[in-house]
Amino acid sequence: MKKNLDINIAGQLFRVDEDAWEILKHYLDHVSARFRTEQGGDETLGDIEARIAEIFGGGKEPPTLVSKEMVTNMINIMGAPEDYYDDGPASTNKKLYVRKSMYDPNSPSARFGKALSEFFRAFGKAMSAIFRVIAIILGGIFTLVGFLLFFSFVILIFFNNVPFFSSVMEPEMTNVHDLLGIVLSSNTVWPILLLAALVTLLPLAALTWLGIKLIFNIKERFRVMSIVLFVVWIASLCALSVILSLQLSVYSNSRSVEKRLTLEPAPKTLWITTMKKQTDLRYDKHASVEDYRFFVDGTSNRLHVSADLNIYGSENGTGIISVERRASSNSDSEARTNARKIEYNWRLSGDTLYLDEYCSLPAGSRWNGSMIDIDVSLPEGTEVRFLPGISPESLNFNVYAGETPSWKIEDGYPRPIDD
Amino acid sequence: MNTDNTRAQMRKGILEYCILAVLSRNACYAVDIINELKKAEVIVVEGTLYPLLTRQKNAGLLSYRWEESPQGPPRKYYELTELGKIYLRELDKVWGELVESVNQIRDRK
Repeated sequence: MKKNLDINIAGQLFRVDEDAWEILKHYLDHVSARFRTEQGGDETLGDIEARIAEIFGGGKEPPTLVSKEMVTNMINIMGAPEDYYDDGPASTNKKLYVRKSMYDPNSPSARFGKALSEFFRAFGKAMSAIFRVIAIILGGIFTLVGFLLFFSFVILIFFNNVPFFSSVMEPEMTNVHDLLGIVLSSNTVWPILLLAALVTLLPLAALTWLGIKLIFNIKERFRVMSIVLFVVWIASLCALSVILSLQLSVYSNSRSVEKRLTLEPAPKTLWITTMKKQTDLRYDKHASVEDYRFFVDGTSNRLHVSADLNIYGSENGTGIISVERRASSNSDSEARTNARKIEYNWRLSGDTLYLDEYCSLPAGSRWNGSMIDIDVSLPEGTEVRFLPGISPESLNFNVYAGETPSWKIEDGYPRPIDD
Repeated sequence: MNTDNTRAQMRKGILEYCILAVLSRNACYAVDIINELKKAEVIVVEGTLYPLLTRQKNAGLLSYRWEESPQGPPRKYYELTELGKIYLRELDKVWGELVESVNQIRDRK
């Protein structure tokens, strides 16, 4: 199959078949080379091209189809460039010129050229197909990942209290609203959630859209909308950063108040029981993150936070109980004041340690990193036992994993023992 | 002996003179000039004419005007300038003298 080319000669459009174009191009190149460097050469070339256009019958619609025979006839009329100054025995030169310029499709060079052309055409098609497959695979990955993350974030932020989703989610995620309401000012929770949604969902939507574009080879670009969304994203990010910085600045300085008690002599068995229990608490909202649990009692406007018990082996053979109240604020002194305000009760009576399962903040106080750390160091061989009915889990006991309620200090660490 | 080359040289020598002579009657476009020169067997291929027309126009012997063509691109219609007319009269004189001289040489017994 041969191609037709559209060419412009002296402002006239012609359709030339492939073979004719080979000869015509060679002829025009030859004529151009003949006059290019001469004074007035451009004008002569223009005149010659105008005459060629006239010979081909230009100006018709649709454009005249120029055949190989028409080109040969034109060359016979116009003559070879070598004849232009020497109007001598032109026929000899002309024949030589035409013979030289003729394209022979069966010549070895033509066949080699065709073979190369076919090879690169096939190679180009193969590469194009490979790139298309890669684009579809990448597009599929982008779309899937982008959509799943988008979907997950929407559920996490806006629908985390829906029973169907909350049953399959971690408690921290289910109670993210309540948790933010405890950690941050309650009136900033929804603005923060909306800004967080914009900051996370816009890039995920863009990723999904990029995947769809790759899969379906969509070239269309929505520049104005892209710029607007980018500006919205930047503005949301800045606003979120500012609000979070202001909100979280109350946690910048952390101070603690410690009460320490040395066990002399250390009991052979330390019994642990609790006084105030989490199960007895009345609360409206509940949230948890990691091992800490928060309870908000709307009636009394008080916040309760679970205590944290850690038991280790003593390095010097002395038994020590350390109860540390910790809190944060903008300044050290205020942080220390906040720590002192934490209500927490504990006592040692004989070989029994009485602990509250939670601490309480004064009415109306916001959580400011308030927590209770109970660290107990015991000599080697000391047994630790919880009284019946007392759950080590409610005290976040550091080694409790749901097994026995009895431990013994061995090699500096509490090891479970069988009763 | 082949006389083609000698004939070609003779034609080449008088070609510019013939172009001016054709244009002395009225303004023509290139194909009109070519047809007349072909009829007189002074020119064989058309391409020869265009560089000569350009040269004569640049020498101030010819001027041209554009006219729309019923087929193809617009056409240049050439005509003699005043300088071209003077130049042609000179060439007429030279040609007359040349023919007379050649005839005298050829006819001398």
